[in-house]
Amino acid sequence: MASTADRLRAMVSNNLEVDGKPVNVGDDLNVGLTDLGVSSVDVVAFAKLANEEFDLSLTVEDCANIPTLQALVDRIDG
Amino acid sequence: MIPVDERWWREYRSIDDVVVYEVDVSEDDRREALAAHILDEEEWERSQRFVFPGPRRRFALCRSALRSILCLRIGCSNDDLKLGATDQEKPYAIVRNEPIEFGFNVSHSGDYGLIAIGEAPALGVDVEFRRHHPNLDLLVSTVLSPDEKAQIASVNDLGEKNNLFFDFWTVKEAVLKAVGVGMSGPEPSEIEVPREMREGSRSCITQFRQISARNWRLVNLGTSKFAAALAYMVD
Ligand SMILES: CC(C)(COP(=O)(O)OP(=O)(O)OC[C@H]1O[C@@H](n2cnc3c(N)ncnc32)[C@H](O)[C@@H]1OP(=O)(O)O)[C@@H](O)C(=O)NCCC(=O)NCCS
Repeated sequence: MASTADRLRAMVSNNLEVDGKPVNVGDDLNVGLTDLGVSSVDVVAFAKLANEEFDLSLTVEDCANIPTLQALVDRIDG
Repeated sequence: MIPVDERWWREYRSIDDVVVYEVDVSEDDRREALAAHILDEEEWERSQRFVFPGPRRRFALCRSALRSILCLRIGCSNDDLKLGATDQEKPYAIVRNEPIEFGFNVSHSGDYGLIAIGEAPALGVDVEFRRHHPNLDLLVSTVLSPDEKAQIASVNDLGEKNNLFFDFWTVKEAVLKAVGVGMSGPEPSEIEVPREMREGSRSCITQFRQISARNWRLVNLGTSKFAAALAYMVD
């Protein structure tokens, strides 16, 4: 089974776009949605999709406050 | 100060005492270089943290335009102007340690940026460039009210569904940005776009009981290229 980090990377690149291009985050997940420049409408979609994919109950606020994608991986695995 | 004919912002609309500026945030190396000189150190550092060039450019071009517009309006120098932010990140202006009372708000998406400035501190603006959203159904089910969902369901054309969605979304965001609550405020589905605006009216006065008993002016600022809305409290 793919690692949480790989599943999250796939979720990000399949669902988040910046300037019409999928967001590819690479190996380093120490980056937040704000620094990626993801708009609030995409944060809303992202929160929903993360809840479905990882069986979580994140609110949009939780999602916006997660400082980095790595912090989200740690929360899921932790 | 940037000479008038070199500015990347221009007055777009004025409604009551609110002036809305349109900011051209399309790629332009020269403008970006000029903008970098207008940002303060903290803003410049923030611009450098963006991973991709598009968000970095939109931030720098809008923030520098905002600084220039505010300086002219207040009559202060760029060095005297500081932009603070509330706990929920809503920016406000401080000049020589004094907060400035009037309202302003910024939004950017794609090649478009809007800045609104007016007397009412509770003022918000939102813009989204028109596109097909890959998660439209998910968004419709999450952020729209039952009546808004029904209206989108009654439309067959996918482009038209996306257009309507962004028209509704920008009104909700403009209201939530006016209040400044960020992501911790009322759910977007609770801020219902008034029926008259959903039926095509470009402007209306309404109330949102879950926010306050005050009246709001809502204005549709959208074009065929972008959806956009302005919201501010009126007496
Ligand atoms: C922060 C937020 C406003 C960004 O929205 P967005 O559509 O991605 O971005 P926009 O371009 O419209 O707006 C960004 C600007 O809004 C301003 N802003 C930031 N936080 C704000 C707040 N709490 N209230 C009002 N304005 C805010 C800033 O000037 C920012 O510009 P900058 O990044 O260049 O400094 C949005 O995430 C938010 O908190 N919205 C509040 C409404 C809400 O809860 N929506 C549903 C959940 S996302």
